[in-house]
Amino acid sequence: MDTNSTPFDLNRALQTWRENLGDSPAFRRENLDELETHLRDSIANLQQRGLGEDEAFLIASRRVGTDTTLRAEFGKINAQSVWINRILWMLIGTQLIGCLRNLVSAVTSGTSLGILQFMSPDLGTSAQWTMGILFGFIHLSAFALALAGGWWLFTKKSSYLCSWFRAVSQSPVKLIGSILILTLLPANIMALTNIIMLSTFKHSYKFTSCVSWSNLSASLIETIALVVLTLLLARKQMPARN
Amino acid sequence: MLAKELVAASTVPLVLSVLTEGENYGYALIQRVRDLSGGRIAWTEGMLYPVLHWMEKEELIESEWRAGESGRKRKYYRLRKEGHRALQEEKQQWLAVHETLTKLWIPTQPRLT
Repeated sequence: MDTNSTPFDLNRALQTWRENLGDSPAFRRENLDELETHLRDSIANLQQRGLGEDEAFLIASRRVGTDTTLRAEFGKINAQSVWINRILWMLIGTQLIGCLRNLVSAVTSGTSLGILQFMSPDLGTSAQWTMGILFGFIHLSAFALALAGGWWLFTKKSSYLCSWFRAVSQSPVKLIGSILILTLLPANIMALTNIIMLSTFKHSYKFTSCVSWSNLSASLIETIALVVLTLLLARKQMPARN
Repeated sequence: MLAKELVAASTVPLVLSVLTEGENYGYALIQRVRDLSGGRIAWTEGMLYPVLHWMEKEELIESEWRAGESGRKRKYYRLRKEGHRALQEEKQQWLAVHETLTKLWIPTQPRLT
């Protein structure tokens, strides 16, 4: 609420207005150009009638229409781009989940391996149980941490994320590099730790089986968590659309 | 002020008719319609553009970005052949409604009593 203390900057106001609409896939750049020209014409006209720059901006932007109505109407015209955008986010989602799971498995395997180095291969049943629960706990914590990190990134740093995506998608080298890193790195770490684990502890079948079991149950809990998250988000978002 | 449904139905014939006066851009189109209607037809201005783009897709009109007299770049719309034809159809339909209503509201034949 410091509009009184700082002078009104029309170009900045228009920029903010434009960026606000531009977040939606309903508008192509040309649509925004045209709407901005319209707004400038309208403001100039209102100013000729004696209105101040800020007043003219307020009235002109009100006459153009609210974000919601404009988005809905332009969305009908640019339905294809709206759908392409949805598919893009679906794809990003599947990649991220896959990458996240691999990363979590890699971290868990690595940590388990580290702990196992210090253990004697002959453990009692209760110790195996403890190990199993410990690994499961590590697995779930890594998953929760990754999920919270992803959530924070999307809600708090989405503009940074968008500019990163834009930069990456425009440079072929960066694009291929990112693809390689995102797909290969977690998978490689996982494969590597698995190989080391199997070769180091192949004499102790019980160890590996206890790790596998805890991994399996942790994955199950993760899947349930993702399903619940999806349903909660759907419940929150779906009625608002109609 | 016109009812919402009537505004929606009349947008295309209004745009086509204004463009028979020559090519024009969105803001001026809106101003022209507002002036002609004495302010009774006031569109939510932003809503005109999706209609214009739809009309362009239907090949009723075509557009071109060009700098006007003020130096500001604007998107100018002009009628195409298909647009002229569509306007003739619209005209017949609107005139039919208009004539019917007029006959009902202003009886031209004197009553024989």
